[in-house]
Amino acid sequence: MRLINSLTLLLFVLIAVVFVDYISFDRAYKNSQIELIASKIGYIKLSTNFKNDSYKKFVYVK
Amino acid sequence: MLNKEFLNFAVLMLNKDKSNHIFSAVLFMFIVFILSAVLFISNSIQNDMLLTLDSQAQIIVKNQKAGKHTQITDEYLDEIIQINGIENIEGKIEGYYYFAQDDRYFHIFGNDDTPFDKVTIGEGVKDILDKFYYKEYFNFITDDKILKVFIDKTIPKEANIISNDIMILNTQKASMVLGLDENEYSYLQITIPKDSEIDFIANKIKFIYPHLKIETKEQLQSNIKHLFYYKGGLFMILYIVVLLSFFILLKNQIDNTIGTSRKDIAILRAIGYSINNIILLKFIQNIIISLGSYTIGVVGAYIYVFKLDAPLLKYLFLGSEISNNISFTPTINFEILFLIFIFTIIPFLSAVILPSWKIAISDINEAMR
Repeated sequence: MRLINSLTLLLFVLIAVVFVDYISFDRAYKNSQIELIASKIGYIKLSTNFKNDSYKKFVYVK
Repeated sequence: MLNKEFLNFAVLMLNKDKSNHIFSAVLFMFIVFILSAVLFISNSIQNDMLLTLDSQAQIIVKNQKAGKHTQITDEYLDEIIQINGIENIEGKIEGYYYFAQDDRYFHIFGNDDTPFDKVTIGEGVKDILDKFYYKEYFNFITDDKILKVFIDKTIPKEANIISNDIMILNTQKASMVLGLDENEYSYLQITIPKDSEIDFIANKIKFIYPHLKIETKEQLQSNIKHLFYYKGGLFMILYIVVLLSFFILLKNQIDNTIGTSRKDIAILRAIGYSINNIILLKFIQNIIISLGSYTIGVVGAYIYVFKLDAPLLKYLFLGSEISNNISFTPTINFEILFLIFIFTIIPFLSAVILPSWKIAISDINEAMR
C-alpha cells in the first residue's frame, strides 16, 4: 500500500507544480511586449520561420 | 471486492512483474511526452502569433515577378486608393539583409518613428552582432556605400517569437539598405473600416492587377492556425513514429497478458476469484501504469517545453538559422490533452482486459498446463 500511496503523492506533487507554474506565469507582460513590437513592424512573421530556405531565396528583382 | 487488501494485492502483483511493466510504462511515457511536447510548442507559437493579428493590416498587397516578391511602386498605390471602401493605404519597407560575415539573413523593417541613424534589434541579432564586435553601431554594406547605424536598443526577449531576427530601421534608411528607390515599397498595407468589405476589395484589386499577391487578414489568421501542418513532412514522420511505438506498446501488453499472467489468472480462478475480480485486478494494475505514465509524460513535456525551452525539438518548429532564445508562453490545450488521454489509455486498457477476460473464461485446467 505504501507504494501506491507514494506514487499518488508523487503525481499530485507533479500536477501541483505544473498548476502553480502555469497560473503564476506573467502572460499580460509577455503579451504586451509582443503586441508592442507587432504594432511597430506591421507585417508579422514567425521569427526564424519554419520556411527558412524559401526566405533565403527572397530577392528583389531589379 | 474492491477493498484495501485487494488494492494491496494488485500493487504487489504489479511489483512482482515489474520488469515487464517498466517497459510498457517507459514506452507509454515516451508516446505521451512526444505528443504533448509537440502540441505544447505548436499551441504556444500559435497563440503568440494570433496575438499579433490585431496589428496586421486588413489587406497586404505584394508585387511578384518571375515567381518572386519584388518591389511595388507608387503607381499601384495611386490606382488602388481610388477603390471605394479603402480608408488608408501605406507603402511599407520590409526585406532581408544578408550578413555575409556570418552567412545569416537579418529581417529588416522600416518604421517612421525610429530615428534616422538608429536601429532597434532583436535578441538573436544582438548575439550575432556581439560576436563580431558590433556593440554600439552596425555597418550595412550596400552596392555603392556603407551605411552606419547606431544600435539604439534591444527588443525584450519576451517578444522573441516575432523579434528574434529583426532589425527596425527608419523607413528611409531601410529603403537605402534594401536598395529601394523613394517611390518603391516592399508591400502595400491597406486599411478598410468595414470588415465585411475586405474580400470584395481584395477581389477587386485582384481583378485590376491579376499578377499581384493579395493576403487578407483572414488568410493570415488561417496561415497561423495551419502553421505546422499535420500532414506535412517532419510532423507526419513524427506522428508515424509515435503510432508505431504505440502499436509496439499494445503488442507488448497483449504478450504479457497471454504469456506470464496466463498461469496467474488460472490460479486466481482456482482459488475462487470470479471473472469480474480478475478483470478488476488487471484494470487496477494497468490504470496505475497508464495514469502514472500519462501524468509523468505530460508533466515532463511541460517542463521540457516551458522550463527548458524545448532543446532540439524547437528547431523543428523554428529552424536553426539564428540562435533561438525563444521562451514559450505556457499554453495548455486541455481538449487535446483529453483526446490524447482517451486515445492512449482506452486502447491500452482494452489490450490487457480483453485477453485477460478471454483467459479467465477459458478452461482453468488448460490454462494451468
